[in-house]
Amino acid sequence: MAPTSTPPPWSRSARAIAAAVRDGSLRARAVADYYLARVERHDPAVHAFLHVDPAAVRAEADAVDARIASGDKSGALLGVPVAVKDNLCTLGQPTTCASKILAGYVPPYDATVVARLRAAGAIVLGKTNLDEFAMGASTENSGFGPSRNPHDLKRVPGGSSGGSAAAVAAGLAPLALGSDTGGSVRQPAALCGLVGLRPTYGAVSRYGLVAFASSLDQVGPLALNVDDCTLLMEVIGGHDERDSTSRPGPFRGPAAGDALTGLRIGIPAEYHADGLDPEVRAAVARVEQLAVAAGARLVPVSLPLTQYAIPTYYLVVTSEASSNLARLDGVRYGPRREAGDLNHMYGATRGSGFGDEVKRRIMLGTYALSAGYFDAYYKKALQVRQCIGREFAQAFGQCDVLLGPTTPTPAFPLGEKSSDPVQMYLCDVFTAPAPLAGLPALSFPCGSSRGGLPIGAQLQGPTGADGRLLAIARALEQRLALDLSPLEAPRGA
Amino acid sequence: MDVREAQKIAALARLDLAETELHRFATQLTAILGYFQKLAEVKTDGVPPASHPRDLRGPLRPDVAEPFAAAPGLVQRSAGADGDFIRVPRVLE
Repeated sequence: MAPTSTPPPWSRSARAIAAAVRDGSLRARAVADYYLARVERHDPAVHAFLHVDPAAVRAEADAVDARIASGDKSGALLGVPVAVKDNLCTLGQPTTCASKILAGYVPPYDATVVARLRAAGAIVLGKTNLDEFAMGASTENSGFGPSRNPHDLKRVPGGSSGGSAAAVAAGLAPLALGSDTGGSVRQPAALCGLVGLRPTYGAVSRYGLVAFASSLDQVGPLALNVDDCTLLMEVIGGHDERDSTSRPGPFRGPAAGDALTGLRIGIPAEYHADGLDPEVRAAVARVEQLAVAAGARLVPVSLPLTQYAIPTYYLVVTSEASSNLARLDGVRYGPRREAGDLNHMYGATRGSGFGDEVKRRIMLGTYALSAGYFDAYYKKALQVRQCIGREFAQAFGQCDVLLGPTTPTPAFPLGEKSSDPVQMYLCDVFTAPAPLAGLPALSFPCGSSRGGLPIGAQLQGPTGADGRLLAIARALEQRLALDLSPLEAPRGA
Repeated sequence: MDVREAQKIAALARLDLAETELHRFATQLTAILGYFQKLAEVKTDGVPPASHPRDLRGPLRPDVAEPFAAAPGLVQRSAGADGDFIRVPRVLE
């Protein structure tokens, strides 16, 4: 099927797709064909996907249509294709974490979030690219080549959920799942002009998410607008007994009504320090003005430990990764490199299977956990982590939410930071603190640079405030009145 | 971190690294660890380490075995699968 020149109105919103499929005015198969055609046409330039099986997608869509024909119209995502980050297990479809060490691995079960998508009538459109094992902020660390930002193909889409973000921004999928350890949903959402939520730690099941840093990892939705983000979050959120860190009870979405009148918005001084791009600063300032005009109050707050979040985060994350990735040794998963005895097999398999950044982080974590360095590095980081949590708690005594930029700059050119790990780590300066404290945080589009690159603003809230963040972002989105349509075609080819 | 230390860490991590990688990682990790020294500025005397977010409680449930339908599939995916078992090189000499 040839792609139509003008995108249909329903392609602007997942909720519109589900409604049209439910009322019979649109067939799930037509939706699937539309997105498959766009993937075929535009993904060679964007490289958002690692794996798409068109026959399986069409079969799933036909099954949804058959279900509707039989009278079963249940499911919040009826006929909605969803792009799924390739670190989430999908029954019968490859799950590689963009790593050669898992090349060709096909899990025998679905992650809970994937099972919930299917139960809601969604269609798994394909598996999206990421920095290998979600370690990176640009998708350049993928073992299978980088993804590109559809707003400017010479620039990165962010990472590590860069493929998921690029897919939605380019109109290759109406919704996507990502995972956020230190900003991997919010940063690509900001750089690609999307809404991305990092839920409260434990709000979304991690059963079937390949573990990277277990005290930080969370699955989160990426969408074109706040309403779609809410819709996806309501499907994937809520307790799962298969995840021992899962919070009890169902997910509570945004309450109806005015979210801004009387709202106390904390503005951390440290988020406006040197190094913040002037256009990002101006776009966030506009959000502040709109919030005040709608009845919110700005509260200056101070989070002096912000400057320590990056070293704290990277010590925790590399220590946990060095332990979690020990299971990838050629015994149970992926290709094995035979090399004499057991230890040589481990070393050869891991040495040839992991990419540069993964090796670097395993080395760093192994060092931080090793005898003689444990107290100075890992334990110290956990103590500073405690202090960062206390600092957030104090701030939330003075305000309801925090507002600031998601990233210091808009999307940067491919290759600009890839040779300097510390520069790449500094991309996480505004997104790493919340995960250390288990807090929810949301990035939403708030403008664009003169060059047309999207800019994101970040809301952070106390534990369990996910629904409130969505309500506030929805109110601000209405007032910002930006064009939130997906791109008709990638730019800058 | 010098190359000898990098070699020791790589061995602990069961990572075979080429000589060029050892040199590169030794240089890069030295720079990264130097930046991490910044944490020494934070006073943490008496602060308990936070290995997890603050309000996490481990849930309990009855100790009852439940069947896991995907178990045979997990074994079959191993490069060393052999029936219900996984073959590995000899562990003890």
